[in-house]
Amino acid sequence: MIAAALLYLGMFALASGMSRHAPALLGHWHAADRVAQLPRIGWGLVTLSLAAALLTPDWPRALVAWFGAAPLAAGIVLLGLTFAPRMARASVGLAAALAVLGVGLSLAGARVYA
Amino acid sequence: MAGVQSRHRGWGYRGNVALRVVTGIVGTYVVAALVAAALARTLPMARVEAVAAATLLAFLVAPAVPVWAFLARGPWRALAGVVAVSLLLAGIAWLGGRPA
Amino acid sequence: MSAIRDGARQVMAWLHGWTGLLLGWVLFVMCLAGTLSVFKPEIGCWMRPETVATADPADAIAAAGRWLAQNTRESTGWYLTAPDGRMNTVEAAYSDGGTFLYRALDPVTGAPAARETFGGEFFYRLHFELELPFPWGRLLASLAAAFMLVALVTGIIAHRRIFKDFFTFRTGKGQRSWLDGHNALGVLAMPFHLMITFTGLVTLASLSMPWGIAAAYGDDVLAMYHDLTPGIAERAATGTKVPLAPLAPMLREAQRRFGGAPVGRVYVINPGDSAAVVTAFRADSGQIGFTPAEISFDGTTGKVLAGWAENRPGVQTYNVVYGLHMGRFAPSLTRWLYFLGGAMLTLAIATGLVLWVVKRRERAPLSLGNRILERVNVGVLAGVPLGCVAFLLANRLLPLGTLDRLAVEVSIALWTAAAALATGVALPPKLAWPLLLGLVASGCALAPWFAPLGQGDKVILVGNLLLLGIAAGLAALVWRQTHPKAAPVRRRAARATA
Repeated sequence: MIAAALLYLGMFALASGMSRHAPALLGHWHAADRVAQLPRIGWGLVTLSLAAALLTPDWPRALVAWFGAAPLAAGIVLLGLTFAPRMARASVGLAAALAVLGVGLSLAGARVYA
Repeated sequence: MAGVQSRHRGWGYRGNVALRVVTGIVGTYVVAALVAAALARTLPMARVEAVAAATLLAFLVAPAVPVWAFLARGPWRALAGVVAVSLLLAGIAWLGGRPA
Repeated sequence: MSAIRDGARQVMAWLHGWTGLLLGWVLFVMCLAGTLSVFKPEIGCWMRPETVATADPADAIAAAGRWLAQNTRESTGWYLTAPDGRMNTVEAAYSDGGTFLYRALDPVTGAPAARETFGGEFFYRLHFELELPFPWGRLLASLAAAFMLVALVTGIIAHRRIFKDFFTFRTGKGQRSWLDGHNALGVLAMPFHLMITFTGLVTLASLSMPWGIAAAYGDDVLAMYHDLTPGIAERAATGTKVPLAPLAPMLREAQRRFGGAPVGRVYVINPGDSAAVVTAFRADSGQIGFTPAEISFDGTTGKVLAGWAENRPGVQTYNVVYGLHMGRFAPSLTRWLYFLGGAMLTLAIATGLVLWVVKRRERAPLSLGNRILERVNVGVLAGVPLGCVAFLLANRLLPLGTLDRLAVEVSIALWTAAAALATGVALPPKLAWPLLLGLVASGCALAPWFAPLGQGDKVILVGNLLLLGIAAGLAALVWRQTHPKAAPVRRRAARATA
């Protein structure tokens, strides 16, 4: 479930890379060809986070939690975008780091139990 | 409502809206009730299961009725559509007959 | 061509506005009360700070049963909810000589809690009964939920640029900002809003849409209930008085048959009669589906009469739909997400109601109808929260021994809300908004300080922090309302040149 929530944050930060918000969020990364790919990457990450949620043992509750975490993540992106775009950009790095950490921990945990 | 086009204030307009509102409100309930009744009698499962499924499905399809009532090309068309669907569903329910 | 507006999206937007407006105030009350009900057990704990004892669910129910047996007369039924990790008292709804009462019972002594209050149950009942007599409250709630569902669907159809606008929120631009806020609150949590509205409609279906039952069962509604929950044994009272057998062994047997899962609800029908039946339900917190299993015992001997663990797909689907709305399955984080979703829906309704007025005011001076509407908006949107805060303050300030304390707390809440509504209608909005919201903020800021603070209970602490947070947020809002900013234009120009 942790992996799901984290992938989530990463996902939304990027699904937000859509047309009108790109300049604000991406700053000097703003290059036309990259921006066009962002929606696809964004949706890909969303799907990945859904898969991560469904793979947990208590998947029904994880699924409900996923649906709940969605507006939360989206809201955080929206607030960051509106009030502090630079902080929003920085948080993408943080979210990505947490996602990697989450995946690493669950793999380590699996090996401990195996 | 000031600022709205003048054709939105005549009696023809009000009648249009009124008929659609009645069709929408009454029609939604009637269609939902008939969907529940028709499915409860015709779904191929145990009685209580059919009732559960029928009621859930009735609520699921019901929002389509007010959307139709207001998007149909004219208020009489809206009413006709709802009446037609209702008659069809009532027929299915009646033909289904009460399960033993 | 007799469409009401040009274009399907405009028609849907028009319908969205009206379905939202007509029952918007009712929906605001329902959503606010519903959001608070997510934490019904915790609110109950906050409102009964003296009652700290805990006990095993089976023992607690047994203690409650002993007290009820001694203190009720000619009861047709006791409807008990066992304590769990979230709430330490037994909630008892029972009939005593014809009237229906509600009490929270101490889990060790079985006697009513020292501080008599409805607790979270007040918000729960307000949510689906709107403090109106049966069946009108529930029917109104069903109607409002149906309107809400149509409002959601028409809102979705009308919002073509749903994803392009997904992250847009422009502040300080009058109607545009309110619209952005309303859209963001609605769209961001759309799956939650659709789920909670649809499942809510379904929970009241036996009252509002009984036609499936009527078509398949005719008049024999009892047969339907028997088919739905075969584990509930039904039989008529005989009139012969026989004392009830001890409850604890029955409940332990039930838990054993539930595979170790705890008991949630316990219904004792016709206690003290020779045909008494005790039905134990498996706790709803173990899985999403509501009412997953039940077992009935003969009240006088403890012999098992019937038992059932739900495994039929159709009924399970219904139970899951019901359970999704009740949210009792949710672990802590998900519960807070439900609260967040509910808060967003409540605010979406509030911003929608405000938007109706703001949008029309920017087009032309308000008509009389809309001016009245604006004032009622203030009264309701600020008054209902004020009523809720008054309920909490009354809980803290009313002396413990007050006669009929439960009803007095509720009366205070309702009268406060009514007074606030009247104030909102009487005063111009510029005055009424900050006044009423300021009162809510003050109330929230005051409430934490009246209880025995030193109890150290985590729930009370979190509740108090939440109240203080709300007070701070509202105070900031009131500040914004009374000190309007002229700065934005200047700031934008400054940024452009930077």
